Amino acid sequence: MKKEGQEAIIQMHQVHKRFRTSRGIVHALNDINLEIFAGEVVTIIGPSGSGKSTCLRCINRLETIDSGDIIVDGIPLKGKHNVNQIRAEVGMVFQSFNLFPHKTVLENIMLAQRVVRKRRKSVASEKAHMLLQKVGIPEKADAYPSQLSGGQQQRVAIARALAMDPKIMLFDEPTSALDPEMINEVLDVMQDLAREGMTMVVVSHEMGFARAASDRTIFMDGGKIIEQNDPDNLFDHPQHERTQAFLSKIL
Amino acid sequence: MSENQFVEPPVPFIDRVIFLAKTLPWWAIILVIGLVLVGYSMLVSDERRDVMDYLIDRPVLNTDELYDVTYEVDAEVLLVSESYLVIDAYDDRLTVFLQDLISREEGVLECPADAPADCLSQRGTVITYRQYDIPTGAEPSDTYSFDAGVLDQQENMLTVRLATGDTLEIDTAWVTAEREGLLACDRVANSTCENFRGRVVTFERPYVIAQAIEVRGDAHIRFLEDGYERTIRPVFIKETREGVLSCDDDAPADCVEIPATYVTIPERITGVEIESKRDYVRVRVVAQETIEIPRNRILDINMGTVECDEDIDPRCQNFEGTLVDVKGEVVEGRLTLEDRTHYRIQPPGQKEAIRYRRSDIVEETRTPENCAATDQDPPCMIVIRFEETTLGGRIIQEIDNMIVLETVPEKVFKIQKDDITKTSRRVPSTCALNNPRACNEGIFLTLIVTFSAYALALMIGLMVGVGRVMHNPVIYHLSTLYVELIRGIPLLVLLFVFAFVIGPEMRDGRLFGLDIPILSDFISGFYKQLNSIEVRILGFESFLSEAILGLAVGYGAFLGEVFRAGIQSIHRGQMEASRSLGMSYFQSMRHVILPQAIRTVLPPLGNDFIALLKDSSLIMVLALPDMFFRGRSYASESFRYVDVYTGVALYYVAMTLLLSLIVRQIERWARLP
Ligand SMILES: Nc1ncnc2c1ncn2[C@@H]1O[C@H](COP(=O)(O)OP(=O)(O)OP(=O)(O)O)[C@@H](O)[C@H]1O
Ligand SMILES: [Mg+2]
Repeated sequence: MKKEGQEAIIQMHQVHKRFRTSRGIVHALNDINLEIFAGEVVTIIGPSGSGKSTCLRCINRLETIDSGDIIVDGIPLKGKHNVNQIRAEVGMVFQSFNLFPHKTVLENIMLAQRVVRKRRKSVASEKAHMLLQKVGIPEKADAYPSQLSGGQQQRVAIARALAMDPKIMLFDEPTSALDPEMINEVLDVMQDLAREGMTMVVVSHEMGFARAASDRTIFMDGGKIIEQNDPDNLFDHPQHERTQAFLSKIL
Repeated sequence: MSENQFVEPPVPFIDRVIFLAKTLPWWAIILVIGLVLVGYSMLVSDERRDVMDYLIDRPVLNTDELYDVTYEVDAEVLLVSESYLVIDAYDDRLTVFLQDLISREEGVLECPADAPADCLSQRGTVITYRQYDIPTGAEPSDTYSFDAGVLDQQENMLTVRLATGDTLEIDTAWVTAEREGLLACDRVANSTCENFRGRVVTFERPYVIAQAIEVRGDAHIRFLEDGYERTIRPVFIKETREGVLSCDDDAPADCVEIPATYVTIPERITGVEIESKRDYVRVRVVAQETIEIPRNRILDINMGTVECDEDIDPRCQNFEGTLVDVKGEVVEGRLTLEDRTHYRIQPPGQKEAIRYRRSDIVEETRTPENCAATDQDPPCMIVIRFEETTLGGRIIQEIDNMIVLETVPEKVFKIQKDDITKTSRRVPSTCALNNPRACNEGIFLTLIVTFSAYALALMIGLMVGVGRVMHNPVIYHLSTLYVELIRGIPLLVLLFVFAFVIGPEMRDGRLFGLDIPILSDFISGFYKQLNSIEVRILGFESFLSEAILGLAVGYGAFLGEVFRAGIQSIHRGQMEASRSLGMSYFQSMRHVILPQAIRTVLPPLGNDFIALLKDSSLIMVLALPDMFFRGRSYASESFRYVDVYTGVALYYVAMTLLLSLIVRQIERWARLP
C-alpha cells in the first residue's frame, strides 16, 4: 500500500500494550507494526477483545503504550510533546457518541474550537453551521443531544471532531450502536469524508463500507495484526485460517 | 378594523398566580398557609408580638449603639441662667452666676497674700464677682439688694424666700424697705416654685469682691413644653431674645408675667427612628438607669406596665417591662459611696458594697450623726429602711446574688421635617448589606454566615472533590486526608478549634504551629482584613470570621465527597471525548465534567445548604448574636421560653422552606431537556 515518495502519517513500531487487571495481565496489543499514509482509509476488523479499540486509543494517546513507538504526523507520541496539540490533529468518533449532554448541538461543535483553537465565537459558530450542513442536519443546531436519534447524534459527533480540522479521523465502531435504518446515514457521511481525501482509521464490521470506501482492511486477533490486504481480497480470499474462521462467522 | 384585534389580551393577574401556585408542591402550599396563619396570630396577639418585636426590632433599647439617628432641630428654650465655672487662687472650683458677675476680662490672677507657698499667678479670663460668704475677719466691700418674701421671723433673724425659690436667713439690720404684695418667681426658679404673696422685704446683703479664672461657661436652659432642664455651652446658643414668661391658662389668678430671656439652640434628638412620614418623623429616645436588687429581697417577678418616674427624667413614658416585687428591709452597714441618687452600702463582714436607690429609702440613720461616705475614722455607719415596693424595668443581667434591673424611660418625639436643620446618623438606618444592623439583625447574621460559609465550602468541596478523582498521588492523598480528618471532628469542636486555636495563631502570623517568616505577614494581614470586615458587619470584633471558616471547612469535607461522587457518576466516555478533542484535563473538567457533575449533585448540595443553615445556629457558642442567640438571651430575660423558641423555630422553618423552594427552582432551571 505504500505510496511513493511519502512518509507514513501514522507509524506504529513494535507497539506493546498490557492491561493489569485483577484477573491478570491482558496483552491487548502484541507487537503491532503499522504504517498508514495520508489520505488512506483503513478499516480494522477482528473479534471482540482483539485490541482494535486499544489500537485506536493508543494512536491519540487515550492509552499509554508499554513499549514501541508511535509517530503521528512526524511527532513521536512517547516524547514530552504536548499531547493536547496532537490530539487536536486527530479526531475520534466513539461507538457511544459521547456527545456533551449539557450543551446544544451547536455548542458541542463549538466548544473545542473555542477552548483549544481559540477561535472567535462567530468563526466557530459559522464553522459549526457549515459542518452541520455537511453531515445533513442543519436544522438541529439548537437541539440537545438527548433530542436526537442515534444516527443524528453520531453525525454530530463526526461534525464535532471535524470542527478541529483534524488530519486524521479515528472511528471506533461508529455504527454498531445504531438501528439498521440509521447506519447508512452515518456511513454516507463517512464515505463523503473518505472521498474528500481524509486519512481515516475505521474499526467497523460494515463490509459494504469497507469494500466501497477503504483502501486497506486489517484483521486483528489476540492483540496482533494477523492479516492485511485490500478489502476485496481480504474478504473474498482470506489467507489466514483465523481470518477465514472469523469471516465465516460474520458473513 | 383596528390592529388591536390581533393583539393577545394580557393574562389576568389571578391566572398567573394560580399558574404559579400550581407549580408549587402541595406540601409547600400547606406550609406557606400554615406559616401565614401563625405569622398573623403572632402579629395580632399582644404577647406574641413582643417576641416578634424582639426578633425584628430588638426592644431592649439600653445601649447607645441603638441610637441610630440624630436630628438637629432649632428649639426656642428659656434661658434659666448663665454661669461660669471658675478656679480661684486657692485652687477651688466654684460656680459663679451671671447675676453676681461684676467684670470679665483677660488678665492675670495674682496670688493673695495668704495663699499657699506653691500658688502660681495665672493668666486667663479673670472673673470678678460678688462673694456673699465673707471670710472671717474680712471687711465687706459693698452690699447688693434683693427682694424676698418673709416666711418666718425670730427676734432679729428673718427666714426669707428669694425669687429664685431659695430660702435664706438674714439679719433684720440689712432690711432697707418693706411692703405687702407679690413676689413672683423669676425664671431662675425651679418650675415648682409658686409666687409669694405677703410681707415682702428689700434687703441689702454684704459681699466681698473676689477674683477667679474662668474655666468654662455654661448656660442652663429649660424646655418650655416639658420642663426638661439641661446645661449647654453658651457657644451653642444661636439667638437670644428678651421676652416675658407668660402665665399658663390654668395658672392661679395672682400669676404675674416676668421678664425672661429666650434662646434658640440646636436641639439634638438622638434615638431610633420609628416612623417617617412625608412631613414628620417620630424618634424614640431612651434614657437609662440601673438598679441592683439582691435576690434575697425579691418576692415575685411579673411582666407589666412600668410607670416611669418623672422626677428622674421628665421625658420618660410608661412601658411594658418586668415588675419586681421587693421585700421591705432594714440594711445596716458602712456607707462607702453616695451621690445624688444612690448609696453604696457595705454590710458588715461582706466584701462588696450594694447600691441602693435613695428614692426607695424611707428612713435612714447615720452614726456618727451627719457623717459622710468620705469619712474614714470612724467610718460612717448607716441604717436604711425600705418599704415593700415594686420596681419596674428590664432585667439586663442576672448575677449570682442579684439581678440588675434597668429602668427604661423612653419617649417618642415627633419632629416636623421642616424644622430639621441637620441629620446625622451613626449608622444608616436603611437595611443594606453594609449595614445589617438596621435589618433584621439576627436573621441577617444567620444568612450572612450561611451564605458565606456555604460559598467557601463549595470552593473547598470542589477542589477536594476534583482532587479525590485525580491521578496525582500528592493531591489525591492530601484531599483524602482532609476529608477523613475533618469528617471525624464534630462541627462544634471544629468551631472551637477555629476560634481558639487557629484564630489566635493566624493573628500571630502562624499556621498550625508553624512560623514561616515569609508567610507570617501575609497571614496576620489576612486575619486583620477579616477582622475589619466583621467589624463592618457586626460593629464589633467577634468570632465571626472564625465561625464562618470553621463551618466552611467542616462542610467542605462533606461537599468534597458529594462532588467526588458527582464527578465519578459522569461516564468515562465524556472525559475521553473531550480529551480526544484536544482539551486538557482541567479544561475538560471545567467545560464538560463539572457542569454535568454539578447538575447531578444539585439535590444533595441543596440538602447540605439547608443543613448548614440549621447548623449555623451553633455559632451561638462563640457569642455571635445570630437569631438563636438573640432569642435565647431574650428568653432568659423575659422567661418566655415557649414564645421565643417557637418563634425562633418558625423563623428557621420559614428560611429553610424558602431556601428549599429556591433550590428546587435552581434544579428546575438546571435540568437538561
Ligand atoms: N481499561 C482497560 N482495563 C483493563 N483491560 C482492558 C481495558 N481496555 C481494554 N481492556 C482489555 O484489552 C483487551 C482489548 O480490548 P479492546 O477494547 O481493544 O478490544 P476490541 O477489539 O475493541 O473489542 P470490541 O470489539 O468488543 O470492542 C480486552 O481483553 C479488554 O478486556
Ligand atoms: Mg472496541
